[in-house]
Amino acid sequence: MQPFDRRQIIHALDVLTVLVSRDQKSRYKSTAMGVVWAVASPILFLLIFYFLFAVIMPLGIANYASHVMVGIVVWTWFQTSLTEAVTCIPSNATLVNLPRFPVVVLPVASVLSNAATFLMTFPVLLLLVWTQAGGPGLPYLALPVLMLVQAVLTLGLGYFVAALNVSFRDMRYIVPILLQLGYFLTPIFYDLSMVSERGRMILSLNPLVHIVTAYRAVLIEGRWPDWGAVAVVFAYSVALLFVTLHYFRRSSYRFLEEI
Amino acid sequence: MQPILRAEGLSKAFLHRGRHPMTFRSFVEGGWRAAGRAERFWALRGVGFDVAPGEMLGVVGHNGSGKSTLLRLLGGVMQPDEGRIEARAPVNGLLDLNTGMHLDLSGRENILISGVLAGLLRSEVRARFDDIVAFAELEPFIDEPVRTYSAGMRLRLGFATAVHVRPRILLIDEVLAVGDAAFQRKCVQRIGQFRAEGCAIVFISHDMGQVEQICDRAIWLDHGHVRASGSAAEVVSAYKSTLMEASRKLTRPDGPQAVTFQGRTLVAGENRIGSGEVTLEQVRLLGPDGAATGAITKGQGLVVQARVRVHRPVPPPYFSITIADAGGRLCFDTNSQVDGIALPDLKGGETIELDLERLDLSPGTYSFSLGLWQSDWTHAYDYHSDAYLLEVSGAASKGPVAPPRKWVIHRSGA
Repeated sequence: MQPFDRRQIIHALDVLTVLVSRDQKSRYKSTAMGVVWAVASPILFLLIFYFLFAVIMPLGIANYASHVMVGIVVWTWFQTSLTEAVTCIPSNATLVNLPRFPVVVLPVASVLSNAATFLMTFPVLLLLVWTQAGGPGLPYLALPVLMLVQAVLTLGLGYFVAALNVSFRDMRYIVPILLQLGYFLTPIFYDLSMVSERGRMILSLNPLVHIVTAYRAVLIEGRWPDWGAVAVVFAYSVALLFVTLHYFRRSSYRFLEEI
Repeated sequence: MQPILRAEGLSKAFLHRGRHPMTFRSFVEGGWRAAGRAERFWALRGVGFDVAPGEMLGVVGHNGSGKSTLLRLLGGVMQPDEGRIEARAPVNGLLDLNTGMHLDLSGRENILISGVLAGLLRSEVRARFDDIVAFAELEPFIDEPVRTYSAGMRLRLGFATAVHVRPRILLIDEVLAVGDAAFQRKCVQRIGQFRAEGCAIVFISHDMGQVEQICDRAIWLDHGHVRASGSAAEVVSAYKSTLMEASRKLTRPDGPQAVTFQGRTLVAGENRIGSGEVTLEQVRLLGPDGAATGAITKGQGLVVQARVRVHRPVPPPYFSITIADAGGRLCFDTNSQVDGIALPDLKGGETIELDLERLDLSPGTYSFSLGLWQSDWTHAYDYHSDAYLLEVSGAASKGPVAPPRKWVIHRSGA
C-alpha cells in the first residue's frame, strides 16, 4: 500500500469527524448542563481575576474584563487540548488495536474537540468585548488565521507530549505542571506592557504570548495583529509539527509493546 | 491459487520492564538512561503461513502462545522485528465488537462510528445503513440510546456493522464464541458467504470444535513457535492429544477410586485423568422419567447430571460432554464455552445438568465422556473418559443419527 492513498486520507478525515462528533455529542448529551459548564468556567475565572486585579489591587489595564477574558478563552483551548493529547493513546487503547486505525488523528481530535468548546465560549467573549471596547471591524478577518496558527502550534506540541507519554507514563502528571507554569508566563491576567524590558525578552520566547497579543489587538483594539510576529510563530509551529509528527508515528507503534 | 496474505519468518520481541512501565522520574533518577533491566522475550518466533482467497486458517494455542501478537502484526498495529507480512488487500478485523461504541448515543449514531472505525467511509456506511439495521434486527430501537440495549442487542449491532465492510482479508478473534446460538449461526453463515466471495480469513479461537468445523487449515502456536500446521482436523487432534497428555501427567496415580452409578470403576490414570482441584462426582444419566438409567428409546430425551466437588478454589472452569459410538467415532461434542454458558465461581456442591431434549442417535451403544477443564484449556481438572454407557433402542438404522422423519410426495402441477 502506498503511504498516501487517497482513500486512506478520506478515511482518516472521516475517523476524525466521527471521533470529534462523538466526543461533542456525548459531552453535551449526558449532562444537560454541558454547554452551560463550558461557558461558566471561563466566566468564573474572569470574576476571580476581575475581583482581584480590578477591585482589590487595580492593575490599571484598560477594558480589563475583556482583556482577561480573551486570555482565558485562548489559553483554555490550548491547555485542555494538550491535557487531552497527553493521554490520547492509552485512553483510546481499544481503537489503537484496530487494524488500519489512523492513530495520527487522535491528537488532532483532541485539538478539534476543544476548538468546538472554544467556539462555544466565543459568543460570550464577543458580547463582553462589544459592550466594553466596541463592535466588530475588518480586522476580525484575521481571527480564522490566528485560530489556525494556534491549532498548528497546539497540535505540534500535542504530538510531542502524546509520543513522550508512550515512553514515560508519568507525562500526564508532568504536563499539567508545565501548563500551570505556562499560565503565568503568558500575559493572561496582566499585560505585557507591565513587564520589564528583560522580562519581556524572556516572555517573547513563549509563542502563546504573541498569539494572545494578536487576539487582543483584533478584538479589543480593533486593529490588525502584528503579522511579523504571527508569521514567525506560524513558521516555528509548522516546523515543530513536522518533527513531532514523525516522532509520534514512530512511538505510536511502540505503545502496544510497552506492557 | 496465489496467496492473498502471506507471513514469512515473523518474529516479535517484547521488553519486560518488570512490573512498572518506565516513568520520566525513573529515567532522570537512572542518570538519563533507560533502565537497563528490560528483559527481551520473544512472543513470536519464525512464524510463517499463507492464506489463499476464500481460505480460512485457524490459529490455536494456549493463552500467551502469541495469538494476539500475531493478530496485531497482521492488523498492522504493530511491526515485526523480523520477517515480513505480504497482504495484497486491506486487512479488516472482527475483533472487539463494541469498540468505540458510546452508550449515550443512539444505535444509528453508533453504526456510523463503528462502521468508520471498521474501515468504511462515512458515505459507505450511510449507503449500507438499512442493510446493517436489518441484519441486526434492530429497526424499532435504532434511534434509542445504546444504553437501553441488552448485551445481546449491542453485540448484534456491532457484528452487523462489522460484517458490512465486505473485507478481502479478515481477522477474527473469538467473537464467534459470544451471543446466543441463533446469532452464532448467523455469524458463521455470514463468514461462509465472505469466503464464497473470495475473502481470506484468519480465525483465532479456543474452540477446537469450531476450528475443526469451519477452517480449512490451522496452525498451532506454542510459546511463539509454530508447533504444528496442516489441515484443521490434523492440527486440532494433535492439539487435543497433548491436552490429554498434559492432563494425564498432572493426574495423581494414587487418586481416589470411585464407582459410577452403572457400577464401573473409575481408575486414576486410566479412565479418569486430571489435576484434581475440582472433581465431578455422582455423574448420572437421567431418562425421561427422571430416574438414573443406562438405556433410552431412540428420540427420547436425556439429562446428564454431575455434582461438583471443590478441593482447591480455581477460576471458573469449562464443562464438556462428548458422546462416541461403540467404534469410538465421535457423535456429539459440546462444552459450556461453546454454548456460551459461564459456570459461576464454584464453591462445591453445585449440580450441573445438561438437558438434551431429544437424542436422535441411531440405536446402539454409546459412551459418554465428561470433563471439567482449566479456563484456557491447558489441561483437565477431572476427565472421565468413556465412563458412562447408554443403550439406545429402536428400529435399526445406518449412520450415527436417526432423525424423526416422514416422507411426503408432491406431484408437479397438482
